[in-house]
Amino acid sequence: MDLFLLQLLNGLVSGAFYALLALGLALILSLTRIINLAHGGFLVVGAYLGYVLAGLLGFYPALLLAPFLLALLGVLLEALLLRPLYARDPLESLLLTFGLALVLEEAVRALFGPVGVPFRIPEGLSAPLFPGTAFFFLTRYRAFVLGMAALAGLLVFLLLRFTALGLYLRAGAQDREILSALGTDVRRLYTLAFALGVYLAGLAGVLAAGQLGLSPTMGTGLLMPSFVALILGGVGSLGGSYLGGLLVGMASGLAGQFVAQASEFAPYVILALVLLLRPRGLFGQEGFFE
Amino acid sequence: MLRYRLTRRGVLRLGLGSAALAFTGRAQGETLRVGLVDPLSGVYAALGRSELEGARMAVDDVNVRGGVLGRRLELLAEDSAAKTDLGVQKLRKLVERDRIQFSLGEVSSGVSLALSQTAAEYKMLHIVTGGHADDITGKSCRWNTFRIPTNGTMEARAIGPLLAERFGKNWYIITPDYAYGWSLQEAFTRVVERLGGKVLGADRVPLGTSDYSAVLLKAARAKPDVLLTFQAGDDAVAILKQIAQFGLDKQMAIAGGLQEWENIAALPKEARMGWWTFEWYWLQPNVPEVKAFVDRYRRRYRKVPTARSWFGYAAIWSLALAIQKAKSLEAVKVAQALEGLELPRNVALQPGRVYYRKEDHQLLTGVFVGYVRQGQDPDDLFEVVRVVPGEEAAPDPKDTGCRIAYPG
Amino acid sequence: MKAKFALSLLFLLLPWLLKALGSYAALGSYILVWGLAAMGLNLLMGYAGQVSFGHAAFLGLGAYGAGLTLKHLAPSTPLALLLGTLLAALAALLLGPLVVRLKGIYFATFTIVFSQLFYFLAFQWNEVTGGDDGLRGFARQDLHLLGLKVDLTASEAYYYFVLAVFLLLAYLLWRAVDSPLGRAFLALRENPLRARFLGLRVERYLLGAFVLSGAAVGAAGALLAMLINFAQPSMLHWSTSGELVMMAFLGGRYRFFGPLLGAALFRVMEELLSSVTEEWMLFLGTLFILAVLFFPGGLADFLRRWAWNRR
Repeated sequence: MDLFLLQLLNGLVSGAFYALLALGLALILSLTRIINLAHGGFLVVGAYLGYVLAGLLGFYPALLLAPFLLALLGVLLEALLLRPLYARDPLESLLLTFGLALVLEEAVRALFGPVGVPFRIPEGLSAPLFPGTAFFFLTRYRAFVLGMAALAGLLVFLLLRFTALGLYLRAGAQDREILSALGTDVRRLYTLAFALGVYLAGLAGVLAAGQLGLSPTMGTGLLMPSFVALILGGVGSLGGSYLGGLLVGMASGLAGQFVAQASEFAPYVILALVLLLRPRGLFGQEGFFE
Repeated sequence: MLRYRLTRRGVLRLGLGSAALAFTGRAQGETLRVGLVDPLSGVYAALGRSELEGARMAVDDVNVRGGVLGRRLELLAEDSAAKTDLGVQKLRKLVERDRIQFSLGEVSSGVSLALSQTAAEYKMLHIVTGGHADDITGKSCRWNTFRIPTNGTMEARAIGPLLAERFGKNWYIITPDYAYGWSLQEAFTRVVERLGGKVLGADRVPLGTSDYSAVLLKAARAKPDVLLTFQAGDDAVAILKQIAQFGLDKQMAIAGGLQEWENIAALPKEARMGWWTFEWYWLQPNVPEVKAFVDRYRRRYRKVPTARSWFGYAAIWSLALAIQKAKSLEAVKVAQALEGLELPRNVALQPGRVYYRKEDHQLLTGVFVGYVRQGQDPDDLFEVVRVVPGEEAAPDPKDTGCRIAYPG
Repeated sequence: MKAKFALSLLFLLLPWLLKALGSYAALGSYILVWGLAAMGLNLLMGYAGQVSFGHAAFLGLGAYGAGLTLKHLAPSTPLALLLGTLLAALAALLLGPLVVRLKGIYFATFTIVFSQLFYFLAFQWNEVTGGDDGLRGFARQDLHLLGLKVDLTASEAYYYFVLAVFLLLAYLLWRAVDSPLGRAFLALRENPLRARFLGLRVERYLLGAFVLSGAAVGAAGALLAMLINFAQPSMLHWSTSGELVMMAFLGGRYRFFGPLLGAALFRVMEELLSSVTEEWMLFLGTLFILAVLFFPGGLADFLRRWAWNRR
């Protein structure tokens, strides 16, 4: 029984990454209608940025600063590469993000080499939270990751619910044509949503570096389950994506308990089931793409 | 282009070499071209490059001594990025365009098998410089293929008894979920069971898994004497880091099969642990020839030679010696000369007798069993406890499933 | 007309041309094989307007189908080609009804799903597929045509076989595209809603496009397996699908032979750049991004306009 509980908690930690990524994807998708295949690439760049900054300033400043810098990069790329494509066939923006994903990963590989780089987490965080008990695997760092993910989720929620900016974002997600007709410059909202989404990817990246280690390919392994989370939670629902991430993480963890191979399979199976039985996911809007 | 760079430098040294040899009056006839297909980009690039560097050094050494049968040796290298279709294409290119006469390669077992098959189509001799799968000198062995690195069974038989003796006979296995991982699991299971021990549990984990907490949890609960992990590359980094994070190395011995210097160097300090087998190590105070080789390599490449470097070095020399012995460039004759060929000490660079076994074309090289720790020299990451002779570690040729048949 | 004559001559003499340029004959076959695969994908992407990141599955199925045929069934090259293609087409036919109900992001993600599932299968089913080490122990066999024996072992000889098959399949694809069926595909791409209102059974036509493209890519896979006498799981990985998408796009997805151009561009650049720098993928990716931004019609479109402007 407690092995079950342990695996569940374990999965929750993985789920934290998926949740952050899925939330970012959902933000970008809801407003710009762009499927950001480059999200994993941003995560990797964010992680390596964190690595460089950590070497200069330490872990906590890096954790704070790297996602911001990454968001700036995101703004730049959005303006240069994505803005021209808003008016065009959505296929083209999909392909662009695909190409961007490749370029980001290769750029990291070119600068830092193809093999992973070691990333140190602060001494205080590496010890187990409850040493000597059955929960020995829950290191302080994992608890920290859970905490940060929860905090980020909460802050985004508060932003959306209680600020004017959040109101605009939600309105834009619901119906951008009307919002535009009412006089708002939706393009600025797009940029903002993109920046926020990329920020979350950067945060996930730095956290992942500490947990899983740095390597140019770390993005792809985390991206696929995040897409599953996006679809499971329901395209169009931000909270749903976040929740979906946690669920996918827990499901993978549990599946892995029975058959070690299954943990990698699990997201795909979930995805297949969702697409076949209830494509709009748990909280999604019907006809999102019409 | 890579090839261009090689020949220019080769020509320079040829110039020096032939100037030196002009005094001895030995003629430089036409060249003998050898091709090397290895990953020079991608995840395995570090390993592939080491093999190339070792091979290049050997080519120069051979040429300085007058070449092979009076001909200058020339090495042409191509990048496979550890992809089979690319590797095969590059080999074909080397054969059809560059007219190589012998081929070497590759780090990846899968690509090695494909290269071996393709080389056989051209009736060309191929020396495997990096693949570890048992099959290469087992079910898929061929008359034209010889292999230098150890295979999984050799590693298990070399380190197994030592682990059982030092730590205990209850083992837990975590292995990557594909053929190579399964074969290692089988080999180690056989070894421990023969010694009267037990495998308490085994988990096959998909390649590329970054989170090992689930399996490590299960392993910890089983309370084994030894935890064996066969992950490689980034997976090894991940699992060793997490073992350190959970403090498992304080509860049980951490060990595995093959480990490589390049991998240990890429690990953060807290993850550098465990008992492993190396295929060759640069610090061997008891073998004088090794120091000279290491010094030369360090001067030339500004880093220590690794087992991979030695593979490349030994491969070129094996070819040269076999061709000299056969007094012919015909693949079949050279292959027959390679069978039983013993490497001289300044090529083997290790204690004991190192030779190619006739039955399966496996080089019976020593297995360096030891543990990871930081030595005085910053590059000294491994303490060699015992060099198990190849003859002792290698499985009985009857058990390999290899049947060599020469073309009629 | 002169351009077409020159082009035909180019393809007929390609092996010798390549060798004269310091390359090797098998590169020609390699280009044709990937060109065929990209054109197959383009039937779905350029004509019916759906992006698939899963077509590598069909490439792999064709390759393993051909390999397994040669290894276990019969030493016949044409049979291997046929069975490989059929295996891929069958998979497309079985998956099709599930896939075509989905659109947009759902379609794209589902293609990745089934592609990965086939990848896992090839990787894990060691006894049949050889697992991670790949399927080997087979080789393309001589052709027996009208009492004559044609030895295909030489790279040049196999090139002409591949060329012949390519031309045949290209002709069949052309007939499909230049027909009411093809027009229906275009309608689907331009405005699926309107197509539906016009009475077109959208799902039916998408299924047709899906199966045809799967078969074409499967044939390419079979040819590829016999080119290197090897089949491996990475042929099924979604990153290979990504390469096909890039080839189709870079070459020009609105022109019939555009993807062939794209495949040639991609493979030649890979060949040239990989000897010079490790990061050739970086250049190709950047090129791809620039193409999406400024040349959405691809190279074929660019060439056409350039030729037009020169008149």
